Amino acid sequence: MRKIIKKYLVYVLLVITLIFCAIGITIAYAHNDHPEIPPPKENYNDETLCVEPVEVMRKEHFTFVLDHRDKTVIDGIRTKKHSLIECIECHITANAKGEYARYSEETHFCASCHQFAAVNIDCFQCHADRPEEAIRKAINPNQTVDQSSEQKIQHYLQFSNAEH
Amino acid sequence: MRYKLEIDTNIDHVLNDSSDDVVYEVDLERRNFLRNAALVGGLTIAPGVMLYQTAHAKPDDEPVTDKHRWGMLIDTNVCQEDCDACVTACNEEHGLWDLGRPKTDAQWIRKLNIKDKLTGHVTSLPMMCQHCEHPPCVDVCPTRASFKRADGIVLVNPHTCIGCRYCMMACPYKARSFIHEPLVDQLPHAPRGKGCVESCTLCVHKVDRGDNNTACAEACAKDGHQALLFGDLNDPNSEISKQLEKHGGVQIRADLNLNTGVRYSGL
Amino acid sequence: METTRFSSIEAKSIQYWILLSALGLAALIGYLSAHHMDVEGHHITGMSNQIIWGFPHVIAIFLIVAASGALNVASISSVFGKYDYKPLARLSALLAIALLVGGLVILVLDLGRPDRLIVAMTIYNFKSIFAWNIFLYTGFIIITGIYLWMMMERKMNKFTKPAGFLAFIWRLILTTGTGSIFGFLVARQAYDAAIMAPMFIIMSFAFGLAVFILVLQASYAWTHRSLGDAMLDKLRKLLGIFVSAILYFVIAKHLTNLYATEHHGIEAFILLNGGIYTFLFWGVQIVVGSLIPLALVFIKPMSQCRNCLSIASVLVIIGGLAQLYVIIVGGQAYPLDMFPGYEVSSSFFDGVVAEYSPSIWEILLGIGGISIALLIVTVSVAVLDFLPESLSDKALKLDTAKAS
Repeated sequence: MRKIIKKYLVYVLLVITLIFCAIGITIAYAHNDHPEIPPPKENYNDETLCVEPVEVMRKEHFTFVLDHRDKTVIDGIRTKKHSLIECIECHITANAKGEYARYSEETHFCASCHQFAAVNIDCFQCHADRPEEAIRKAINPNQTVDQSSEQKIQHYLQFSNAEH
Repeated sequence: MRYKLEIDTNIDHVLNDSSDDVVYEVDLERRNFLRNAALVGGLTIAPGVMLYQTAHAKPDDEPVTDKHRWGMLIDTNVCQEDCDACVTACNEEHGLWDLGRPKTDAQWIRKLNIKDKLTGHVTSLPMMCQHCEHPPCVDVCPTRASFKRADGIVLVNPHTCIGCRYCMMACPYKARSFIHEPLVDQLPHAPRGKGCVESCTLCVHKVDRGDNNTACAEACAKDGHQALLFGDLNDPNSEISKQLEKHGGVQIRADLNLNTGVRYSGL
Repeated sequence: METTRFSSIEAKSIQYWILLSALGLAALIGYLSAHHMDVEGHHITGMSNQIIWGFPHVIAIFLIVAASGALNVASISSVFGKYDYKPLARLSALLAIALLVGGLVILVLDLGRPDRLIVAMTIYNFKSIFAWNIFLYTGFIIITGIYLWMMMERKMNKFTKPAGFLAFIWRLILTTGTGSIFGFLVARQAYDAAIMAPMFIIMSFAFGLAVFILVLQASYAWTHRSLGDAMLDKLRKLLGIFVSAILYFVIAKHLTNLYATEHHGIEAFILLNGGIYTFLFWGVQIVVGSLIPLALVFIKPMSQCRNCLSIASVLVIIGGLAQLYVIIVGGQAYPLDMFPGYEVSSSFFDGVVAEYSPSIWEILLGIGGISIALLIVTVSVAVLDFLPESLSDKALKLDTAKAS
């Protein structure tokens, strides 16, 4: 019995791997239709459009952000060009209904690509995934009407759990 | 210019402390008025207005240096026992939520009431990160996530914090909190998230943009107590240095010889 | 020189597979509960901003301390030339590695950001004891691994002594490092004492030996190999000496603290009015974990029964866990004394004794770590030649004669 298992184990594993690959590719293609993402607020300039040429940003944006993050946290350098806050401020805009997507939704600028490319980042576990205006609105949707603290905690926990 | 105005105008939100809970309230009309006013100002005498507003700030592209050492002087004679405006302001400023779990909820600044066992005299004071010159939390951190900035502000770099909590064991002031749950809706200038340790940042985001004040000190002044004075300990002409020279200021746990950046008078 | 015949155990019995599956299942459950803690955040545990390190750390530090102690038996033979212990050296080194791995797994899984382990491995602050410990722990595993290799590979036997010596020195430094995690905490009244480091070394001797005795007895009983009284008698006496030594250090530590008025608060808390911590100290650590084992080990006729030695070992382990619980959790439960001479109150539990009760997740994680350690031993003894075929008195006498 053991010998038989040993003999065929490699083949079985191979087949399982192939099946998983096939499923993966199928799912990837099924998600190929890009969701509609609200456009950025404005171009940084007419030449490069974004803070760096768009092609460069697509491939390298994280190196700019990571480099800038250490400079900001450790040295207190607060230039805006490669600041994540500014990325979010410009790229995450409201849709026609005036709603801002969270990172957990695929219409979020960052998530739209990361979900497709199966990139897992932890930036937004801590950082704001929407402009300050949208965050403040989410914290207090009714703006001037005072919510009871209980309601706010419920609202908070609801989204806190939805993140997972 | 639009960005500059949005970020440099820190009067966007108004504090509402009608209840004990932290309440976020954005007064739209006031907000718009302020923005328009700022715009008008910016348009008429820009960039002079902005330059004036950020006169104390270092240029954005330059690293902080040890030219300044930011600190705080707390006058316990003025601090009121029943007032927690500083705490509310801090929570508001950094989006610290009260989740109804007092054992694990974060507190960057808290009010202590201390009663002399001999005389019965009660003193009230705010306690937070003391921004030591020789911080024990920085000594024990295995990954250098706890660090002291060149200008004396002690911070946690959450990108390298692994959540071991050794710094919390080492802190003599119980000034640090561990984030015990996943968070959402963090404010852009105050990123924070599950599994890292955090503490008072001396409002580093405000310091860097040249506000030259902290949320707690602003709130205390607004309530008319002025128990908290923020300033540059390295500048002999700063108000805090003058006050310290005139009235003195003690360190808490001075026996540890940590040379704290936060000093107390009236103790 | 070598006549002891080592062989792997035959892993064919149903009992062996049951044991293996049970340990595997416990390890898996431990991992899953750690994962649950990671997803939900630590608020589901009993740990808080007051009790920063809790049950998982008690178990983990116990395992790490016991790991370095488990190596002692090997050190006695290789370093101190007591060749009677040589047949046990392989198991001793294996157990040392296994316990350390189990403890480290718990520590890592309890981190707030276990996914950032790579950060801990790449960025170091050399003023931090934790950073040293990362080197000391990985170094210990590597050095003990080499030591094992020297012992088990005939061609390498000649290097056994230097390798054993290095491992012995390393383990002393390692336990010093572990004790110093607490010894260097200047701010807390319960810690900040140089005696922590040597006390942890003595604790490691006793805890490691107790675990070793139990594993040895179990593996010989379950594989029907013979284990003579002569060998057990040596281990019994050693255990007695080590437990007495812990008592000495505990007394020295508390007497020193009692002399200084500054420490009266924390001492009264542990010794008199600390509730659960006072009970754990006197009832479990001192009576159950020290005095009863000493009686079992030294007083006839208990000292002549095998089961009494097993019971003594179990009690030493329980006492050890209680001791670490009192040191780690009790030390944090007692409030920080920021304002000597003042009563302090706040919304952040200043000036009050912090409450703590471990959650099921922490307990499962702790059990998972222990299971991983035992799993490593169980698999290893079946794969490689760790255990002597016989430890009967007859076989041992032969060994001793040849060696000397």
